Amino acid sequence: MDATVCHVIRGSYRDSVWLMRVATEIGARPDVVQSAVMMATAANKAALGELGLLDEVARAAQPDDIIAAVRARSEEAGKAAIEAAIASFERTDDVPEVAFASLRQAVSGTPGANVALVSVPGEFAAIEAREAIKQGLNVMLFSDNVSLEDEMALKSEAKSRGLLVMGPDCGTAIVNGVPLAFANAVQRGVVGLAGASGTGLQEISVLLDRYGFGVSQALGAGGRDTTQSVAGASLLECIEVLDADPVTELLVIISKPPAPGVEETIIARAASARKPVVACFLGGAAGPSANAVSRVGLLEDVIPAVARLSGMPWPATALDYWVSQEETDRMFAEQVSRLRPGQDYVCGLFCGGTLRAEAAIVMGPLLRGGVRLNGDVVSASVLRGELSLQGHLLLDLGADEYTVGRPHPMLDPETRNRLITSVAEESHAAVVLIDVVLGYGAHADPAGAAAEAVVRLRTNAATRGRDVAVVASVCGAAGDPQGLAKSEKVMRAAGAAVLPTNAQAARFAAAVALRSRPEGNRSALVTPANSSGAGKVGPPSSVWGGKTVVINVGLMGFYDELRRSGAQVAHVRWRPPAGGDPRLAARLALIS
Amino acid sequence: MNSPSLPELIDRANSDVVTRMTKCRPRLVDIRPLHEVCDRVTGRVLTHSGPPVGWRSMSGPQRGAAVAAVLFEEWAEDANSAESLVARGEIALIPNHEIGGVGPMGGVLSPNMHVYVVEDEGTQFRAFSCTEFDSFFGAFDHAALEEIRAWNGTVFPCMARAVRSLGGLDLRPIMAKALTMGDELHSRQTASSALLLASLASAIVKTSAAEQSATTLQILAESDLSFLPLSMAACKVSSLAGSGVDYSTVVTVMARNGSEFGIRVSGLGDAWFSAPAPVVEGVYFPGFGRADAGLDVGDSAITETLGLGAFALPAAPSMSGLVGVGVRELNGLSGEMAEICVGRNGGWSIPQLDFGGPPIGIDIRKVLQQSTFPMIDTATAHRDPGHRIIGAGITRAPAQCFQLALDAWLERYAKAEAVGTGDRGVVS
Repeated sequence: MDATVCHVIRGSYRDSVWLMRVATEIGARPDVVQSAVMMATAANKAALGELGLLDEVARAAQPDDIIAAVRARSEEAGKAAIEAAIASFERTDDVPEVAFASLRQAVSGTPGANVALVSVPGEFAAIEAREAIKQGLNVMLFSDNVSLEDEMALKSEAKSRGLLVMGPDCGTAIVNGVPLAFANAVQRGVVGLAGASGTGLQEISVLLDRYGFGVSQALGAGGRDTTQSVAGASLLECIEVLDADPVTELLVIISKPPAPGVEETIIARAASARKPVVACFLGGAAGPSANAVSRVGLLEDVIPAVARLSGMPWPATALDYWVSQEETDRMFAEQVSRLRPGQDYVCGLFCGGTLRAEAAIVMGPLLRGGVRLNGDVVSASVLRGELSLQGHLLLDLGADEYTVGRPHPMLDPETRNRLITSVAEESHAAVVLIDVVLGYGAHADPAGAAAEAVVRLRTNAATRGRDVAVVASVCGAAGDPQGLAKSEKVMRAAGAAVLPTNAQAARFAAAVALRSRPEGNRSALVTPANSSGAGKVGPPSSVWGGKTVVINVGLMGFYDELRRSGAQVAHVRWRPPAGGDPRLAARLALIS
Repeated sequence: MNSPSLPELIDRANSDVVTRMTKCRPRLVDIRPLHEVCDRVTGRVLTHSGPPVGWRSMSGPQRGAAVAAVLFEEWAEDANSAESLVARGEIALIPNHEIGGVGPMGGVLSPNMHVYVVEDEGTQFRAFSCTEFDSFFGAFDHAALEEIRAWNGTVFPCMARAVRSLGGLDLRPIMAKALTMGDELHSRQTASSALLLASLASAIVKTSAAEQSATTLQILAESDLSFLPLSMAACKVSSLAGSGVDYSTVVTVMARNGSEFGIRVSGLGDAWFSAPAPVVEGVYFPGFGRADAGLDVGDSAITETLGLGAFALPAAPSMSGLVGVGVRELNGLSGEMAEICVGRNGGWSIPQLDFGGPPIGIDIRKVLQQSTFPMIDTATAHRDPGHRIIGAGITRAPAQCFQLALDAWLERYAKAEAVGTGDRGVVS
């Protein structure tokens, strides 16, 4: 039997639309059949009477009273609804998250704004980047799928206005201590980084941090910057900026091997810098060059080079550092003991493209038959969990073919976890090699997620009478929100050998697969040199006035992470322009 | 000397449009039957709100309003024959906007219905409009027809004598005051309606017989929306003043017929760019709900087009419940609308905007760049004919109207412009 419950709020006035709102709200409650909240005018009382929503008290209400009335499935439900209506007369609305309707509005509402972090879909990214430049902002273009023409036009426009464009497809930067997109909470210091490589920049920054060096700035150029067409436009600007930055005492340049001619241009500019320069063109030539730029071929070799240039102690023959001979031997013995004859292949599953590239460079010469990469397998099959190992395989799971319609594995470990587990099916698999990337922007607990998958992998393998070796490195700094020590511990607990650098993990994985004890003179264990520049108070930075104030256009997560890092940031409530039609949006940009 | 770039030409045209719009000084100059005001509305003609529409795709409220108008004109004996008369195509249907008029909700006017005539002295542009009868929501019962007869038989003639005796009535002071008294001059007209009554009361008593005066004053006193048609006509005059400026991307008309939402753009003449009408999100009177609601309908969005209504929401704190936000957030909504507008209307002063004016001059470029679509606060009609108002809420103009308009604009003014993304893409 339905119950009608009425309540009279005496001597109160509210606008009819406000009252209708309340009526609608309480009408949406379960078990409420009908609801009305109205001023008690004669006409309204008559209407309520017709609906059977009027009791004796309500009938006697005066025109300056408010009647709240409901018919509900039960007396209790009716009373609860009335309580809710009464409560809404007292509530104060939450102040919404501050977000601007447009980049332009955000700029005018954010004094000192000097960089736009753009992460909108690629086909619209150039439009936002142009607007940012027009508004006098530097641009960190996280988005990929930006056309080459747009990239070149943006970079030349920015240069003419004295602004910097980092990207497109730039995943990491730290400017004046502010982490942009994916970046680690490394100590501030005197080493300035400029790179056309996302996880490469991250790996170097965390290794510097662990050795005791701090980072002044880490500037990104975007993965395509060192191609023939773009000709290092951004990387050259980055070098310019770092050379002029008073905080920066030493430069590190990191990139895949640049296109012919571009490399010479970059080295020439680096050689004319007033500061020492280490250049790491991944897999390229190493050693001191005639023009005073120190060249190294691996990410991890940047650290000794920086140490030497800074006059810090570094054993000339140290190959591995931060892990003792005894520990290495122990880990090696444990991992090798899991393997049976026929388990020969390394299966590397990477989040970081540059980390994968470095691993391939390290392992290529060590493993007979070489290593297979993304292009050597069918991504659709891999995504179904069919690895079909026929040799050593190193996959970059952050590559386009694995991230169409899916989040990047640094954000969402699901795809990689599935693949880690599926290695249990591979009877020839010897070693699973993974990178665990920490820092702002990354998954809240990548080690925990990977460790779970490793445990599942080994459990499943055990049901097939096998076990698998697992080798990992954690690209993280002690200050990262996820915790470096904790992450390494979680990986070890799952049965992984955890090496301190990505290159060492690759070398170690190859050694396990070959059952050949890692070689090299590792008697010299390097201890972090804590006094070598981290936290050093230098002159104020000249980059962007010494303070980074961000306008975030795109992923809400970046806004949250920037806030978490303590940075000053404004968010733009972006929606696809021109009704989501990229072609119309591009034409629109021409007349705006 | 460099010739101006396309964006410069557009910006110039747009600011010209806004100047023309804001310079208007609308006056109520007369009230008389529509056929005397507009010679296209003679014989068997009905007007309606929104873009052009035929009987077959006509919305419920418009069908009901058409039946009521036919019965008022006594072209048919009953509702059924009235309906088949229109259905057979024996009655011409003209959009109000195509003859300088605006009508609330269904907005169906007939030759013998009185209309307010509003004129801008400077430009001589004229616009007409009519009271929001229950029939405009679709009602055509006895009471609905009696309402139309009472207004046309007594109230309008009475008001007409008063207005003529005053030599016209300047609408700006009423609108300016109402904006400081809680009205946004679309859905909330409580203050403006009271001010209209106050402005005319004495003249009504002086120029009409006691009984007629009493009836008229009583009806005006009972109405919270009597100023709505005047607010709309004032905006229509400004709209006309801002129309037809080459290169301009400013919207001059937003209007809905209950099936389609149409816009017009200053630089694109009289062309309509229409898309399916949106639903109105809001609140309902007891006994009605979402399932009963018709789609957005009426010419009243002319107020938003000229920067009133939802664009001036901070002026009307009591509307916050209808919009579904707190009072403090109304400024943010108006700010959002400012982002898609050319400028602000310095002619109005809203206390809640630090005595600044509301945004005016919707630029289709900005709308599409930000995908922020013009907001409209409005009443809700039933989906079927035969009902009165069932609720109120807010809605937004559909994206497709603006996409179509931009396409047409590019076709007309930027056909020669290559759509490269290379150097041409560099902002100027």
